[in-house]
Amino acid sequence: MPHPTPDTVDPPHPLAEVLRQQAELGSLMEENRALEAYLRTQLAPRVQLRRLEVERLQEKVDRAQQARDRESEQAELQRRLDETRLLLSRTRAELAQVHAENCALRASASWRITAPARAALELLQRLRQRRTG
Amino acid sequence: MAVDGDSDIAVVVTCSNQGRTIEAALASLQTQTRSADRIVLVDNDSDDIHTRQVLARVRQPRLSLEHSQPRGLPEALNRGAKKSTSRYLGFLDGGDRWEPAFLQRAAAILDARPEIALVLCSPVEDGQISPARPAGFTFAEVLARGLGMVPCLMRRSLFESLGGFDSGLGDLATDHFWLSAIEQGFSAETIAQPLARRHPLSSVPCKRDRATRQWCEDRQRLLSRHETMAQKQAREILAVSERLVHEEKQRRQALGQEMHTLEATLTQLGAQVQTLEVSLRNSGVQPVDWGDLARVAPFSPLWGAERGEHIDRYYIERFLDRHRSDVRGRVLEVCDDTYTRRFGQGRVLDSDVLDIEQDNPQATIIADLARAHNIPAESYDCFILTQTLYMIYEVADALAHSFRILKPGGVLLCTLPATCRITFEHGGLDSGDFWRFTEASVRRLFAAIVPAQSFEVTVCGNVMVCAAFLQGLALHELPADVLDQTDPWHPLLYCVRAAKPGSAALDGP
Repeated sequence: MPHPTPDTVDPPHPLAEVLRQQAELGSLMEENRALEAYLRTQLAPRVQLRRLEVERLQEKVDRAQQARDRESEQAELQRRLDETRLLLSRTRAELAQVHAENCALRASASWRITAPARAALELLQRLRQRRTG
Repeated sequence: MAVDGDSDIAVVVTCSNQGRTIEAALASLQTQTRSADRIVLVDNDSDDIHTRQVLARVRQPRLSLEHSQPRGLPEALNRGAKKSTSRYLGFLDGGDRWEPAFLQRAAAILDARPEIALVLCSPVEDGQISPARPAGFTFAEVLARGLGMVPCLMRRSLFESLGGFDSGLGDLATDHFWLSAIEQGFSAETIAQPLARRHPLSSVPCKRDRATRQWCEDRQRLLSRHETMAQKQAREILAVSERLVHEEKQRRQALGQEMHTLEATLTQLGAQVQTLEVSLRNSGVQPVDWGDLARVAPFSPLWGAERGEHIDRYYIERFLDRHRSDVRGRVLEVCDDTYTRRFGQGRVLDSDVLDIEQDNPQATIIADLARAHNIPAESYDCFILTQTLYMIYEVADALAHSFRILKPGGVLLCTLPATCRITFEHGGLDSGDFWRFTEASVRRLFAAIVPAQSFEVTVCGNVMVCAAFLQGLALHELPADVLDQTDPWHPLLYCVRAAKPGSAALDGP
């Protein structure tokens, strides 16, 4: 018996073809339903929880960074305060030294001897200023 | 027959093991802008204990409850429909909810257009990632895809013309009904707006899901029942089938893509978590702050007694307080009569204290509850049995005796732990502490002894409460707003009020 060629084969009855399609459709629908359920009940909630975990950790990292920034800012301020204090103490020492020298000078014999001459000179300067107006 | 537009609607709600969703379905009927005159809730052969309990306590205006055990969905639908004579009949699945405007919209169409016999709406599933396109209401579409039980409102004349739903077809009866309606020339209108929602849980316990082989067999059966019309419309059915296969393939692709995206996101988030954790550790910060809880021994091994009030007692005492009217007549309590005195003021005529230990001076009855034959049957109006059953190995026997000694109508007020440390006070590691319970095991234990509608289970606690309780922290050490947040997946304990069937034991105190 010769093999049927495509031209001689009867086309499948539409309803038989429907049933064949239905088998495929049923399988696809079942598969999709299972996949949808997996995505919705397992995978999506896991992603959501992981997102929340990242947010929580990121906030913690930010807080830690802020704390570090505050610490370094505080250290810088402390350093500048220490420098200023050092400068102040040096200036104070210099001032004390100048003050001591000044006192010593004013207490010396030469300062006292030249006092009338400095007074006369001062008077002369005042008169000149008055004349020049 | 009602003539005004605000009456003459009956809604049949079917429930098949849908105890977790049925209350939402019924609540959606109470918020309709055009209300139903009659609601018939039909239990479609539910064997789940929780569902049976929910159905037993459902109370709503205009609602009646019917049982169709064990005849299946079509019988449930027919039974519900025959309980009213309304002009319009609505059908609502126990896993669906109607938006408030559904009945008004559907009834308005039937009011205004006499040629329309049926109004349908495709439910949108909550949280669905890639929903399938709603099915159209044509012979080819219904035959090729199947509609199942969709939210609808129909004229009673349609229901009666078709002789209701075919009881011999099981879950196929709805599709057979729709196909018959189309074959006989009844017109339908589909509401395009999503005026109905389907709970995602409803597709799990409900019998709607079918294996592929069952699906094919069903389609074949439907085809043979409607062969004449199917022959006539063979080309259309084939075209719809091909389109549906194509759509489902596209949906498969979309879901696959979504899965791929979610998995990639998950991997990416995992890497981000790792990086952030390393960054934190490098800064000398632990990713999880255990704080004061960073310890392997609890704060207190004594349930926090030396620190303050026990956490579990918060739930136990609130439970007993809610049911204080049950503490009356002859009351039995285990170990001492503290709760009998506290909650039974003025109602208790006589009380006993049960203990297995002979050296308990307060005990008036010495017995092992699992073998308590020495306690006469039907002796008590109330038995307060808190945090005890877990210490009895033969827990079912103990529960059986607990009911045996109750008078008919007497009440057992029982609490059982879900989470707690091992009790060393009554025998240490080798005896004296045998069980922790789950919601399912509690329901099974009680349902084995009393009808499901005779007891109710309350779940208490959440993960923070459990952690605090295990650590031995006291009640005042927990934030107040945490205590009443219930997480059924992380419970601390269960409270059960169970009434022994029979008439009330007492007329009054």
